[in-house]
Amino acid sequence: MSFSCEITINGFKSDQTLTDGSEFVIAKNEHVVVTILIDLNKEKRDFDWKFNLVDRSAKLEVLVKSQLNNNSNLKGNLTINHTAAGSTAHCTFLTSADNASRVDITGSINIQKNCPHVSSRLSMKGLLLDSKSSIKQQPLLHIQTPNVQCSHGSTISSIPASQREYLQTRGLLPQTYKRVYQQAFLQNDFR
Amino acid sequence: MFICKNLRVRVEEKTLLSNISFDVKPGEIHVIMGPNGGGKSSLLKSIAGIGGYSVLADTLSLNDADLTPFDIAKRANLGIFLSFQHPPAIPGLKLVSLIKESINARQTDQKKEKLSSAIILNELKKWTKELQFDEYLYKSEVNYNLSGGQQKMSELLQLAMLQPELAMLDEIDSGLDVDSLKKVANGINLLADGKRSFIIVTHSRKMTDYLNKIDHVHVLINGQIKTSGGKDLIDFVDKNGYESFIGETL
Repeated sequence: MSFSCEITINGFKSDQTLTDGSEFVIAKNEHVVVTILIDLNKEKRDFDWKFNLVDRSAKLEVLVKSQLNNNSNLKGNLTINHTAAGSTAHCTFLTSADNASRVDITGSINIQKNCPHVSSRLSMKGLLLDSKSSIKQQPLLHIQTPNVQCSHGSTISSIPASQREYLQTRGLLPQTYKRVYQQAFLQNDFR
Repeated sequence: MFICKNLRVRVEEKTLLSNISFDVKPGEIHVIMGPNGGGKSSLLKSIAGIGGYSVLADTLSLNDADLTPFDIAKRANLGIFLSFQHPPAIPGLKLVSLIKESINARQTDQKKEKLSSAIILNELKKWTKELQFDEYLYKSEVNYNLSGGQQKMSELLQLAMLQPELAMLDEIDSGLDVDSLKKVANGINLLADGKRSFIIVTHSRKMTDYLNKIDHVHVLINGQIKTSGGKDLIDFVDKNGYESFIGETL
């Protein structure tokens, strides 16, 4: 069963699809952009995706936007393997969970030996919209070469009180301000 | 008409406000002044229903509707608008989208049909032009990457679109340069249509000078209204400061 996604290679739309266990190779002079949209309502999905950058000119951008509602469950791993010096990757997860949904995801950056000058970033942002939902997100770095630029970060929050109150003073009830805030959160892509 | 009788506000063990009583008739502009930490923002927040305070009052009503049982959103939909002293940024949410959601939240609350995006956008363009603001404002994300002045203009634009009965402005003049201050004051003058009431918290003499009319001035110190009067009270405070009021209620 495939996931809803858009894949472009050097600006052109690709026919490749994304299933539960897809593996991609990003080769010479390829700039691949993958945007994945996961919208679960009373559903359970797993994934295990691998992206292998095999040339110094290989570039990868991955954006995974997930919104889970009504007891949904998302579990998975995304791995970015740098096997070539100088390759570049930027991966962002934006995940929201509401109504007792659960998320357990791991993002890994692996930089193999003899791969200097790699630049790779992993950012994971989670939004909890109710007290019964949970998000577990783990960014991992495995760096086997010196002289690389690599970063990872993970934040999980609920709607800050100041922003919630601001939306409420504009007349928005909980169902509405949660929807509005979630949409705003998922707009933030690569910021 | 807004009525406030014997409002008392506490947070944990601390009393923020006591014995606050004042009425605001339709179309009136009330200015609240006072030293920092005196309770001015707490007063506006209590009326709006935010801040997690413990609020008691003999009467707290708008157009005969008792506000005390209602939450923040309901009070907003009844016609109370609060302009924040430090409006929070909400990246990813366009101001035009927020305004549309807010207008339609009120429509739904009043059991009226929702307005279309086209109607709202037309109205938004009209008000942006009348207030002499930049169109960039409603196309931008809510308070994100905006200067202090632009944030306050954004608050005023929301006020214009939401058409509240009672507009409460918490230091809308703070952080504004001379030109922005004039624009904001002109905007308030435009929106003070004789039916809409205003409660304006300000430290700025300049701000009050730019307003076309001020009906009542209240001096709030240590959580109590120490004195009330007309516009001449502003002159008195400007000349003598607040020290003469501390320790007595007049």
